[in-house]
Amino acid sequence: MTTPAPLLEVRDLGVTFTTPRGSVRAVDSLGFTVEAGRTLGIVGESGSGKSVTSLAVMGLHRAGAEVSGSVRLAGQELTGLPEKELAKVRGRKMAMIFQDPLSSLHPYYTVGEQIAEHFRVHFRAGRAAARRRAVDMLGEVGIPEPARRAGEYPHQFSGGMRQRAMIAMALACEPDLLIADEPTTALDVTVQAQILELIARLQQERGLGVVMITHDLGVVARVAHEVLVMYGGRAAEQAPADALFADPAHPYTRGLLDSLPRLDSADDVPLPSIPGSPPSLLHPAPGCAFAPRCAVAAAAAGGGRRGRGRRRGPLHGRAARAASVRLGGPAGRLPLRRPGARCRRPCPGGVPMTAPATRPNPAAEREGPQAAPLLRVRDLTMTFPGKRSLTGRRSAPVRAVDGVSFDLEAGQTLGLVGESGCGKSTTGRMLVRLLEPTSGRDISRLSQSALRPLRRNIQMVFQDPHSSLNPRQTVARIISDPLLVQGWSAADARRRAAELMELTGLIPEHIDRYPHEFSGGQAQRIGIARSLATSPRLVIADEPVSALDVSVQAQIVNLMERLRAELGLAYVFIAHDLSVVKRVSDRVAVMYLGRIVEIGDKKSLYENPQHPYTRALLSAVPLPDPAAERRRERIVLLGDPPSPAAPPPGCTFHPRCPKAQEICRTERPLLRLAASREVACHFPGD
Amino acid sequence: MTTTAPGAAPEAAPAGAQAKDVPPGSSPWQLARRELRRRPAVRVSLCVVLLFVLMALTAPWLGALGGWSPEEFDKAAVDPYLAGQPLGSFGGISPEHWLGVEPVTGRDLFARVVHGAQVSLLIAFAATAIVVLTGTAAGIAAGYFGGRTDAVLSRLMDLTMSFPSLIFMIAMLSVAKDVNRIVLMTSVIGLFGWPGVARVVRGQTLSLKHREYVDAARVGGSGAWRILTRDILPGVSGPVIAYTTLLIPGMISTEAALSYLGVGVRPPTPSWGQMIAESVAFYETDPMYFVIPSVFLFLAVLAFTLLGDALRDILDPRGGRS
Amino acid sequence: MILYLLRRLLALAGVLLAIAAVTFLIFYVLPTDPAAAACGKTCSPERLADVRAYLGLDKPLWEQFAHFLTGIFTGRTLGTGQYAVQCDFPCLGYSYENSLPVWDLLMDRLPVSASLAFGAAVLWLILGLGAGVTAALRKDTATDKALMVGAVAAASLPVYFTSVMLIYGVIRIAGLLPYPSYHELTADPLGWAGNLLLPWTALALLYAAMYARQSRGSMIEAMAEPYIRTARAKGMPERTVVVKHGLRSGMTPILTIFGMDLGGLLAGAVITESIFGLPGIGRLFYGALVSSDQPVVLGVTLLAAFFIVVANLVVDLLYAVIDPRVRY
Repeated sequence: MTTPAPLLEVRDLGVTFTTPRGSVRAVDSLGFTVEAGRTLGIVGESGSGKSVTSLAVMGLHRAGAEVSGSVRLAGQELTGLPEKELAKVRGRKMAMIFQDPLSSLHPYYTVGEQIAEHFRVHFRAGRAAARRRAVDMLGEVGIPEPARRAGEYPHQFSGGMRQRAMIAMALACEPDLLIADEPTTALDVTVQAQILELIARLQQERGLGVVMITHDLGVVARVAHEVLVMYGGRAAEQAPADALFADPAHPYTRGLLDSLPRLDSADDVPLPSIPGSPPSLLHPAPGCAFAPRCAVAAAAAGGGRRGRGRRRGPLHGRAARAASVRLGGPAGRLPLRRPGARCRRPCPGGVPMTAPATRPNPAAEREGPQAAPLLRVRDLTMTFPGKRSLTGRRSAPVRAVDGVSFDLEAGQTLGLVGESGCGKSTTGRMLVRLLEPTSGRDISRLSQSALRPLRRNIQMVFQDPHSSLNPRQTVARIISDPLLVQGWSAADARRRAAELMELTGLIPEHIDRYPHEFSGGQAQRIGIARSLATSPRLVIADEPVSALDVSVQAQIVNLMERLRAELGLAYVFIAHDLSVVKRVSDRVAVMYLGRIVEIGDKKSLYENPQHPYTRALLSAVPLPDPAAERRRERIVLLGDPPSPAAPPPGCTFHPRCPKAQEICRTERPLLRLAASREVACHFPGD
Repeated sequence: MTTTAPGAAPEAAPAGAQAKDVPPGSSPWQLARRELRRRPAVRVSLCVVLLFVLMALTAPWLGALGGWSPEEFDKAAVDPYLAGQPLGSFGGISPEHWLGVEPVTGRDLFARVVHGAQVSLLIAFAATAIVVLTGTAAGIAAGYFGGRTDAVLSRLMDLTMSFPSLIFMIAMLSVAKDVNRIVLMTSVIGLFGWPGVARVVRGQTLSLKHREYVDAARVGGSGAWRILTRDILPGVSGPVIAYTTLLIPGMISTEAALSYLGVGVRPPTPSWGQMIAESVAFYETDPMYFVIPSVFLFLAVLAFTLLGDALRDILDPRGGRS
Repeated sequence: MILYLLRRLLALAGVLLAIAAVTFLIFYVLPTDPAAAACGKTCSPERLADVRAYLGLDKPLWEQFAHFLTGIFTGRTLGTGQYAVQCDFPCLGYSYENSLPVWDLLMDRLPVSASLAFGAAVLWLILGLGAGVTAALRKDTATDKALMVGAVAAASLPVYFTSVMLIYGVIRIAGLLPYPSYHELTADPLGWAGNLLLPWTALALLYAAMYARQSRGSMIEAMAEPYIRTARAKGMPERTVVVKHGLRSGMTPILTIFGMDLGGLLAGAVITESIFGLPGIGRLFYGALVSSDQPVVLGVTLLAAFFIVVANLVVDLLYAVIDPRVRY
């Protein structure tokens, strides 16, 4: 008679936390549905309420959180269900996997036990049967030798394997709905590709409904059929994936997509960015949560305060109408979705999306190749002594960096990319001599005291903006510290600190505040200001944007580009995110297990990668474009990156390489010229 | 080299989520003080603590206020025919003797308790000072310099912690005869307390040492001394303050226990533990004599513990363990 | 594993050696004369010299120490001539006060102290962990606050005050129990328990309060772990979540403190034993202090150190059993 109820139907969901500082409305009037066999992607930045939503659906909020509204799973109302009844549904009909599989698995029980335990709770199965089930499930998620691995503990698994085990556990009871909360965020990009592939396969085989929660628009584009964009605890926009990516309606979605550095776009165009940072839920702005950062709202504010003020509706103004129409289906869309377009032009009054005016030519190109490079690195090597076990034996030493060489011209940016453990950060830290290289030439011979004058020329920007600022010092102290060490007077250093704040887009009046009073993006600006205090010629930036929200990343990337142009800086830009590296670099070096496997001009490297690892890496990066994602041919590497403590013989990449031949197993390839760049591969190119 | 994910902590309030009443430019210390002031338990225990400290500091004058010196006998206050029982109810509490008198001797309990506070708190504070200073120094050295320094200091901590401390203290105090008891007690108690502080500080230093802001200072050209004094020391001070406050009640208890066993301060100098020891024999005939110093001891320990708990909650939320 | 055990045992021996040396130094260097103590009040200089020679005090310090150490493993003869005393393995010295080797004295008193320690430990674990876990699971409720206020108060009460109050209330006023005297467990189990009930309570109250505070903290920490959320997401009943997933990791840190505490108490609870008049090692120690019976003081100190060090080793080995991440 009527259409069957959707697998998951959430209506008017609200979650309020009571904290000593007041109540926080983390999720507000949220509604969505998920059908069997379909994937809903929920995207949002920190504090958007996406994870809170997933926990509310699972009924996992404990005391202190108040959940209102309705969650129906296959027609059964879940909110208000007694804990005991809820427990029967949880894990049985809907299951969840989490971001960090290591801490989400109990360290004291074997992986097999934990899966079997899940099975036994819901089915009255015997121990032996449950154990068989655990082994079967491990096999199904692609864990080799499942019978043996079932007897191992989570810490004996690699990151990717752990997430596979989590998936095996979640699916052990054949649930209808799988909620995945940032399942690949802690993983390397090649491993992420494997996990996404696995989830897609299992979904197809079992007709699972999937809710994929992530901050990564690329992941959403790859897996989602429908997308829900959250901001400040509310739905900003909801639409089928294709429509949303092709034609974002909400200014926030549009801004997010525009500000994203992407692999498949030209990067000489300035990167628009959303000003400000994600809102505090404790003191929500009245009206639309996005209003303070929104170009439309700012424009509207001029005449008649439309779109903000009055009531805090679920969706507001034009975007609201557009979005509500979207919910009905892409066909009947009204031509109201253009507001965001306005923001592409620089707005008068400096209100909305800021963008650097032009991108200058790198200074080095003008100087020509004759000039001596600013930095010359030869055979840089770092060997860490093996860990001493409790019995006093040392394990084999770890070659974290193994003979890295490159040149960097003044005013140029070298991007250093690779997965975790490839030695890129170690390289960066050796360049500023935070680590003493085991061997290598040039500046690395200087002692720490002889180094002090040199310090002025090489500075560093760190990953975690808050942990890189001493919480007990004022911004003035933090920025002027390197100057005081160089012997500046306190007054001069303070004046210079204020100038630097101005230069990096901070308000100089805030000079006597403490780091905790700044947002992540602002804190990173402070970090950059400090690195510039001594007027260095080279700045090593170690993952400078990876801890920041997507909408803030673009601000920092733009700032760094502007500073490079204005001050003639050179950067070594270390990152795991290939899109960001592509955006900022002139030359790119790809590292694998402590060695550079490919280095060359950015454009040719990204367009025509020669090393099979570079190819795989590039193909693993999800693009924020569902259509392109479907067209792409993907190379999914097998396994995890090996441990640098026990690198494979010969070419260290050979165990994962699709093209590996006999020679790769025995002979280490050296960097040599291929297709206008240097590649360390026996069989470069196609 | 893990990559922190944006959006990893959905419930963490974004920056700027400080309560609105906090003025801009508040240092972490100011925030902590504000937080402390909001708690009623803190205010009450702080008052009690201050009262005791004041009592100890002004003991000679405060004691004189009652009109008796702690060693003065008052035969008129005890009944010679009833085995020296104090005259009057509740252990002889009267306008003359505010907290009653000792049986047999008739010494004024108020004067003795007040002077006892001085001795007990002096020893506790002095021992705590020794413990905290050595512990912090050793902990920072071990944590920051690592390697051989750490190995030696850590061994020393393990060794000291393996000593049966109470038994050892008793033994040491009992063999040393003609020394200043207060100095001796202070140093003996201090000798066994430092490894606890040192471990906390070492753990904290180790975690601070790997913070990026220490790296940043080094990249900025700061030397070891500058980093130690400007980055590490302020960083460990929070947990150290909390730990110190929690150490004091333990020290007061230890002093009392040693004096109770008769190896602490010697009569006629009063200390709480020793007063309790003397009064145990009278607990049936003159319970007030036994109860009064016990209550003082109990209150002092309780107040310091409550204060320390609150400080730890705020200054060292993760318990100082590495 | 074997290698690790060997290393640890070697370290253990080293620690004991160091403690013995330090103890020895304190007793023989600090300004007291064991000979004078042994000789008595009316002692002529000649007699004192004799006693000195007899006790071996005329020999250099290191030689005395060496004798003491070899005595532990091989036994030795103390003194010469007609006053010679045979002190068999393991010889920790000879108590002239009691005319018995220290080792025999200690072994004679050990059952009393062990009874007190183990009984109290059972009691305080039940009370303390019960209160701590209950408070942790009901965090920030009235129950939690009441339990924690009670725990802080109980931890602030000196054990001698509690003991005296218990004696006064239970024995004198209510007359429920006889004044404690030690009955052997094997001979009279009921009498053993009945007589130890009050000392157990007095001692356990203090420790229970400390354990309640500790276990509340570590249990709250454990229940906030992501794997607890996973267990709930699997649909495990809350009971199983708490017992199987929470308790095991929440109680692990308690093990360390428990090892230290039990080890320390095995060699005698000086105050409790004295107040209740239990003939354990603690009271032996206290008596030896009063009568300056230094071999006994030295012996008790070494035994106490031995227990603590062994307890630590056992705890470390247990960790490997509990936590699979710990491997030797």
